[in-house]
Amino acid sequence: MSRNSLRIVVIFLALASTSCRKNADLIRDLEDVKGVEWSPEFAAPLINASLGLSDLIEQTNSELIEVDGDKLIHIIYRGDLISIEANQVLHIEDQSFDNPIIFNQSELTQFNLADSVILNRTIWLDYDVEFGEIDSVFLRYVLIEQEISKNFDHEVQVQFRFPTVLKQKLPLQFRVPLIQGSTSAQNRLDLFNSSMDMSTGNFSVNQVPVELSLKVKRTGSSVLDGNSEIAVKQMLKNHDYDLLYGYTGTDELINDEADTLVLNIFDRSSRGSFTVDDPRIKLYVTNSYGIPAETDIVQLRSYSTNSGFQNITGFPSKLLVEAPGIDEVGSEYSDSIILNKNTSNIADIINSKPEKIVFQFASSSNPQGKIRRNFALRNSKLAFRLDLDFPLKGTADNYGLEQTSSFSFDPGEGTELDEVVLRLAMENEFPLDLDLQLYFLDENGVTLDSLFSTRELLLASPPVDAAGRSQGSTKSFRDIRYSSDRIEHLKRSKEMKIVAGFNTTRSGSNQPVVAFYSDYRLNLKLGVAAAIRAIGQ
Amino acid sequence: MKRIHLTRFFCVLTIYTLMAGTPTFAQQNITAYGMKSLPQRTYVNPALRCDSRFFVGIPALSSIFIDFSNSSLQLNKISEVLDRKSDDSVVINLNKIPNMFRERNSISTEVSLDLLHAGFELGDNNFFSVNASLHTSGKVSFNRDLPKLLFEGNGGKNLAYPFDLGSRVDLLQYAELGLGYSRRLKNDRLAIGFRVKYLRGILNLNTERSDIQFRTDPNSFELIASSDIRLNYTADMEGFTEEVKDVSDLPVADMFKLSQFSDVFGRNNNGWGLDVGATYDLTKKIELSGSIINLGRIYWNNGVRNYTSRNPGDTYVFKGMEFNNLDSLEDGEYLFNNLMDTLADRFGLDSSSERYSTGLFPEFYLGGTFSFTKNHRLGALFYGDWYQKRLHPGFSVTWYSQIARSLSLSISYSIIDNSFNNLGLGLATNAGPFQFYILSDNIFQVATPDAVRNWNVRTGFNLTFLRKPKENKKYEKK
Repeated sequence: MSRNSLRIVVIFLALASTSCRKNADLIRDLEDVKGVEWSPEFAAPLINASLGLSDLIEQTNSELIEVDGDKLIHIIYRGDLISIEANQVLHIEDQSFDNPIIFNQSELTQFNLADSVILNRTIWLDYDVEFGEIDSVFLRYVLIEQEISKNFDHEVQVQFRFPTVLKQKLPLQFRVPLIQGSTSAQNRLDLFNSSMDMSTGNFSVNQVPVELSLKVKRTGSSVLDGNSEIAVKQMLKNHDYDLLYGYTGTDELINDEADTLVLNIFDRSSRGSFTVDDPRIKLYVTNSYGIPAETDIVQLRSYSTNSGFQNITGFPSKLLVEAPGIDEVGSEYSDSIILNKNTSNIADIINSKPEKIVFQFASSSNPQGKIRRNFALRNSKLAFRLDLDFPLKGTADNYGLEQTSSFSFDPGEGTELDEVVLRLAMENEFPLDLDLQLYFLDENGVTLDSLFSTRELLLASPPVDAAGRSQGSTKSFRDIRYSSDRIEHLKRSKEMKIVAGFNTTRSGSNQPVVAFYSDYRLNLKLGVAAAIRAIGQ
Repeated sequence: MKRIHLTRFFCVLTIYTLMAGTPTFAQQNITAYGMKSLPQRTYVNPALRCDSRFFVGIPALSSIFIDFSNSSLQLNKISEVLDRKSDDSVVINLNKIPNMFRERNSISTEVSLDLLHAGFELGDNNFFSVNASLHTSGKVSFNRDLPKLLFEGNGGKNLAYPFDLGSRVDLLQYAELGLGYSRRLKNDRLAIGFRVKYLRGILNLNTERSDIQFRTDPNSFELIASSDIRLNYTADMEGFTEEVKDVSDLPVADMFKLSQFSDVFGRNNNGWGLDVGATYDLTKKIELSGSIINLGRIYWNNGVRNYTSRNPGDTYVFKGMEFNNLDSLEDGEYLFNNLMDTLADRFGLDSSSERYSTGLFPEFYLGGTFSFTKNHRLGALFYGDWYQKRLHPGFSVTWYSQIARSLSLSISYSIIDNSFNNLGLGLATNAGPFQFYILSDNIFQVATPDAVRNWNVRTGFNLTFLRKPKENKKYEKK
C-alpha cells in the first residue's frame, strides 16, 4: 500500500473516532430524557352562524314562536285548559231489569195435555239515562248478564232475542237452559261492537225490546198452576260507546272550573322595564260534540306577587258555541274571544309583568232547549285553549336577565393553556342594544373572574324607521384575551352567571316602539386561538 | 493553460453543488467510475470499458446495489430537539422538530440486482455487453411546512403563513434487459457507447400532482385550503389491483414482494430506456468523460388505478361550524360529522383506470481524470439527476490506484446534498479470473450511522478473462 493510501485511511479513522464521541454524548442525553414538551399555537373558527330570533328562543309546547303575515314575530304562551270528553259527561250507567214470567190458563192446559209448552213474551228494557235521551247507540262493549230462576222442577229452555241489538247486522239471540233439579241459572255475555236502536218503544227513546221464548218440558213432579213463575233478571253493565244519538238536555257540562297559564318569560328579569305594544289574549273553544254549548266566563284575571290579582276587562259574559249537525258527525265547530289593547286593559296587565293568568268558567249544553237532536262521539271534546300573544313590538329599557348555570373547564391532563384569544365578530340587524357579562364563580358563589373587565355594550342596535323596522345593521369586533392566570380562574370555577341587559333603539331621549321581524339576522362569527403547553412523561 | 481552465471549471461546479442545496437521489456508484478492473463501471458510462476482454457476472451475485439517501433527517439531529433543564433533566422539545428539516425534504432508496451480466470485446474497437437486472426504487418528498404545521400549529406567528403541504411518494419497480455497445474512434482517443434497455414495469406508485395549500386568515381564523392531487398506481402482480379501490387500500407493505414475479412478463407495462456516454483523451494524462443514463419511460397499461382530486385546485374556506339554532350547537358530534362530510366531499379523491407513463430518473455524469503515474490517477466528477423537474447535483473527487494487478483501490470524497462527510472507498480484487469487489460512496457513514444521509454499497462477484496488463492506446503507440 502506498504512503498516500495509508494517510487517507488514518484520516478516515480519526474522523470516525470524533463521530463516536458525539454519539456517546447523544446517547447520554437520551438517557436523561424525562419527558416531552410541546407548545404549539392553534387557531380555528368555531362558529359561523346567521340567526333569526326564532333560532335564539327555545320553543316548548307552551312557549311558541309564530310569524304573522307581515313577518312580525309573536311569542305565544299557550295553555290547553279544560277538555271535556264524551265518556266523562255522557256516561251510560249500569242497568238492571227484573221480569217475572207467569203462566196463563191456556199455557197451563197445553202443558197438562202435551207435557210441554212454549211461552212467548216480549219485554222492554227501559234504560234509566241520567243525561237525557238515547235514540240509538253504537256500542264498543257492553256486558250482558242474566239470572233465571223458577219455582217448579220441570226443565226450562229460555231463548233470548234482542231484535234491535244487532251484531254483524243480525239480531242478538242466545239460549239459556234451566235443567231439572236446579232452580236457577246464570248467563254472561261480553258483547263487542254492536248497535242498539232504542227508539222502537212507546217512548221512542231509551227502550230496548227483548223477545223471550220459554220452552217448559215436564221432567218433574211439580204441578203447574197460577203461582208457577219463571223469574228473568237482566243486567247491562260497563257501556262503552263509539257514537251515541239522542238528546242530552240542558245540564251543566263544566261547573266553575278554573285553570292557570304560567308566564315564565318574566322570571329571569332582574331589572329594567319593557312594554309590549299590543299584547292579546285569545280564548278558543272547540266543540266536536253534536251538542250546542254555552260558556259562562266567570273570571279572567292576572296575578303577580307585587300587584296581586288584577281583573282583565273586556271579555263577554257568555260565549255560545254551536255544534255540528246530525249529518256532520266527526267535524268540529269553534269560536273565540280576542282581547287587545283596544278592547281590554290587557296591555297594562302584561306590562306589569304578571306571573300567571287565571281563568274560570262554566259551560252547559243545549242552551236553546230541545230544538235539535244531539250526538256524541267517543272522542268528542269540548276544549278550551288560552293563548297569550306577545307581538314583538314595543320597547325595552335597561331590561335585564340573569341566569346561573353550572360550569366546568378542563383542558385535559398534562395540557396547560398559556393564552386563549376568543375573536368575536357580530353583525346585528335587531333593534336592540345588548350588554353581556359572564361571571365565573367558585363553589361558594365568590366571583373569580368575568368575561369582560367591565360591563360594556357588546352589540349596538341600528336605527329604526317610523314603523319600528330596523334600517341596516351594526357591526362589532372584539378580542377576548385570557392569560394563563385567568385560565386558572376558569379551571377553579363551578358556576357561570350570565347577566344580560337589553335596550331597544333610542333616538335621542326618545325610545320609539320597535318591531322584531322574522327577516332580522344576527350574524355571528367566533374564532379561537390558543397557545397550548403540553408536558408529558 | 488547459489545467487552469479545468480547475476553474471544477471550482464552479463545486460552488454550484453547495449552493443548490437540493437533495441528490440514488446515483450509481461514483467510486466505481474510475475502477478499470470493474465491469460494473459501464453502468455509469456505457463508453467506459473494463480491462477484461471477456467477463461474466456470477448470476444473481454479480451486482447487488443498495442506496439510501435523505436530504435532512439525521439521527444526530435529535440532539437539537433536546433541552437540558436547570435540574439537569432533559426534555424533548417537539417545537424544535421542524428545525431538523430543510425547506424541501426527501428520502429515497434504491435496490438493484443483476440477474445476468456479461460482456466481450470483438476486435480491438468494439465491446458488447448484456445485462438483465431488477430495479426497485422509492422516493418520498415533503416540505418543511408539514412538520411546521404539526408541531408549531397554525396560530401565533404562523397565522397567514401559506403552508405548502404538497408531498410526493414515488415507488418504481421494473425489470431491465439491456444491450450495450461501445466503440473506440480516432485512434482510441474517443470512445462512444450506448445501452438500449427493454423495461418491464412491475409496480409503480406515481405522484403526478400534489399541490396542497393551507393558510389561516389572521383576522377571522378562517381556514383556507386547496388541493390538487393525482396519484397513479399500478401493481402488475396477480391479485393486487382488483381489491384496491381506495388509496388507503394500497398494499404498501407488499410492494417489494417478488413472490409473484412469475406473472411479470404476462402483462403489458413496457418501456424503453437508453444510456449514452463518451470518453475523450484530451492529452496522454487527461481523460474527459460524460454520460447521460436512464433516459426513457415505462408505459403503464394494465392493472392501473388513478386517484384524482374531486375538485382540483378549488379553494375551500372553513368559516366555522354552521348551525341553525342553539339546540344544534349543543350537538357537537352532529356538527363535526357534517364538517367531515363536507371536507370529504370537497377534498375526496375519485378513482379511475387511465393509462399513464412514468419516466425513469435520468442521471448525468461529467468527469475527468488526471494520471500521475500509470497506476495512480485523480478524478473529478460532477453529476446529478432530475426529480420533480429539478436538478439535484453532486460533486466528487476520486483517487484511483491500481496497487497490484490483483488489487485496485478507489477513494472518493463527495459533496452530496449539503452533506460533506461522504468518503467513498472501493476495492476490487482478483484471484485468477474470479473477482470480488465492494465499494461505497459513503463508507465513512458506516462508522457514523447517526449522521447517515447518503449511503450506498455495491458488491458482487465476476469472472474476468483475458485481462489486459495495461491499456495501450493506439495514439500512444504512434
